[in-house]
Amino acid sequence: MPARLCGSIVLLLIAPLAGGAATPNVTLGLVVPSSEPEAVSLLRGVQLAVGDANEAGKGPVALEVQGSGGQWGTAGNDAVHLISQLHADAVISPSDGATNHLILQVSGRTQVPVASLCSDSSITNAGVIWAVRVVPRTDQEVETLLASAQQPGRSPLNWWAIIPSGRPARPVRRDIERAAQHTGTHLGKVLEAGGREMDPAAKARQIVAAAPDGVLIWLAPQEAGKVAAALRAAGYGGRLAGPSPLDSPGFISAAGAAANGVCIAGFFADENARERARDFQRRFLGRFTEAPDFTAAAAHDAAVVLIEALRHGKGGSAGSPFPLALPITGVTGILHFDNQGNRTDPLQVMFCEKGCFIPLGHGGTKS
Amino acid sequence: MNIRHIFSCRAFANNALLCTLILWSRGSTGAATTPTVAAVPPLPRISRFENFGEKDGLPSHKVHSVLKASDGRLWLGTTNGLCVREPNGAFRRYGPEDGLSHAVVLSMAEDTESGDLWLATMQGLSRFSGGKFTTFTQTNSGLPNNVVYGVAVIDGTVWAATPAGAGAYHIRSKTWKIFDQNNADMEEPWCYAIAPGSGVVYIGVWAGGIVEYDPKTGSFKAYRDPDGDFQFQLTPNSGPIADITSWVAYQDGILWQATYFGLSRYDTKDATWRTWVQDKTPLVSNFINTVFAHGRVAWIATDRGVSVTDGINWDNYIVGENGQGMVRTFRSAQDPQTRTMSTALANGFVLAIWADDHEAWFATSNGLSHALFDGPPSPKASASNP
Repeated sequence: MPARLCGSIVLLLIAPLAGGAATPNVTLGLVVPSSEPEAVSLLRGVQLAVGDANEAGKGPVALEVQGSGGQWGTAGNDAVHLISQLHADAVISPSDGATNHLILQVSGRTQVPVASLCSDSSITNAGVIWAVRVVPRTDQEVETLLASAQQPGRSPLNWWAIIPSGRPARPVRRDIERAAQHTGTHLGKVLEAGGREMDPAAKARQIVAAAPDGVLIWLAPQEAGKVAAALRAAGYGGRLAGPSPLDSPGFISAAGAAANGVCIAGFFADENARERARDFQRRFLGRFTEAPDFTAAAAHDAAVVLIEALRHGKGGSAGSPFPLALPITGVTGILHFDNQGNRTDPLQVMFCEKGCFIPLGHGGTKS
Repeated sequence: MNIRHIFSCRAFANNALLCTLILWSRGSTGAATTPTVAAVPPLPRISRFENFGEKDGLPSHKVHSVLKASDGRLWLGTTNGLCVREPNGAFRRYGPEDGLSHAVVLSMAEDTESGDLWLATMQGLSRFSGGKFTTFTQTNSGLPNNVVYGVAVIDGTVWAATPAGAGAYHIRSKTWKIFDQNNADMEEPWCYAIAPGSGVVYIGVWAGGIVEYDPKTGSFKAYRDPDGDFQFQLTPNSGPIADITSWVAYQDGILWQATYFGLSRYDTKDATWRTWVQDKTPLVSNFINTVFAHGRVAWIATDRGVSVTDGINWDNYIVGENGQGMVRTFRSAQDPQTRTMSTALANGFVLAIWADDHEAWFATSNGLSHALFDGPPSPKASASNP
């Protein structure tokens, strides 16, 4: 684990209960990934939510953190440690699909609720009835983006996609293919990039030669930023779109001017929600001296969901289904869930302009 | 008078199954006399439940697993250690301080040759032999991962289902083999359950359906959800209902798959599948924690009670809103019938079951239940359970 991250965890463990020695009535567990940018955002987002909960005085909330990640069972060990040794009442899981499934396995046997930041549709399709997902599903995002780009009466657009390599590619590929099928979009090549396969310039040359109408860059923010920059540098002028975590300083920084015009699908936000998001940004910036990204906001909301749900569920029968009925106010919107744990909140297309993602038709210039 | 029980079952065009019990009474010479015929319920009928909780000496209200060993002793895996019911009815606990690898015991299996007990815990595999524990972990043995969800003893080999593959420990040679996505027909190594089949091993794989391993040939065969959709059953009765397998059980040529989306049954004799989902079929809930097979009867532990079925007839034992026990009976060509019982399961969230011809034990999230049957015994099993 990177040194910077370890420091964050120590601070985090001290912070939530600072100022009081009360026994927590809710203890959240957080499994952080091995990748530092996401891990820091996760920690900070949850930390802010836990701090808010403690300030609200409805009962102390504690946070316990474990972090090793990976496909080979370590995330399961982390979840077990959080639940059985550190007495976590619920677990927040990061964006990695394998990590989520390992945590869900533990949850399936222990009935400990999980709030996930993983967009793979397979997460809520696993059927663990006390698991929810606070981020949009990949297939929903892609459908929203593809449908938005397709003009009525015109022949289907030709999209390509760039996805992570290795094991994470499988669920992403399935979700993108499903979304393309649902929208009647022609999906051309799906290229794997990332790790050893990551060569943005080579990918850009291949794409420029084929000239698809659009490219889905379904990578982590910094990798996606490099690919976007390489595509524009190679002269690609088509549409670019990606997942909601691209709403991050990491993507903007890596993409540079190529970030302009890149589209994502985010949760619809009315003026009240936008004001809550702005307030979150101000407080996050004030506390951590860095602007929050989408992951931090989603992590904040994951913590809020679990705290609210556990407080409502205390005293209920063991193993009772996760109390999803209550809508919860978060910084990514008002959170509603279906009985599979998916958010039912509508998505809207947003595009990047001057370093900010703006909803289409809300003061932006793109049409 | 000696009594022999002979069952004859006949399948009718409407798939109803009529079971009759022929009581052959024999005189002192052993010569058969006139048979008398009496109707036998196709499923064991529970007359009442006895419940046990922390006040009765259980170390935890939450019981994950239950096993009646061949010597008649009842073993419980709880969130707070292993527990045995002494002959006087008292519960005796064993915890990590006694050598158990972790307090949470998820699954148990008996080695009927040695009488040893193998324990799947959340932090290693433990063997309980002669009153002492031996622990196997991923650092001191070939166990693939410390989180062990299921365990079975099959022909001198202990099988452990872990999130990093299935580990097979050959007891005599003390050697390990690991089966995962590199050498078995698995997309992911996330194993969740193990069950012995007839000369084969069934591995329940999270996101991988069921993998059948033949130790003689070293070959694998995967049974996957044919529609590939975890959530919706687009092609019923054509394969496993889902690829997230929560448990597997096998007896008498019948393989049962528990999932969080319903129940599947595979008849190995004619290679046919049946699937059940709640609301459209009598299955009490889609969310199935485990399934226990005894003879051709499956005992299904769900979040909303217990379903008992032979694939045709169903009895659902649930806990009513006021805590009362209720049984809902489904028989072919008859309207379902609901009856209130004098006692109820300790809790509707049932994690595991053990049953034989005379009794059943239920591990629930809030206590242990013991069910006694009334009427004649159910059709007898021909093989043992892990």
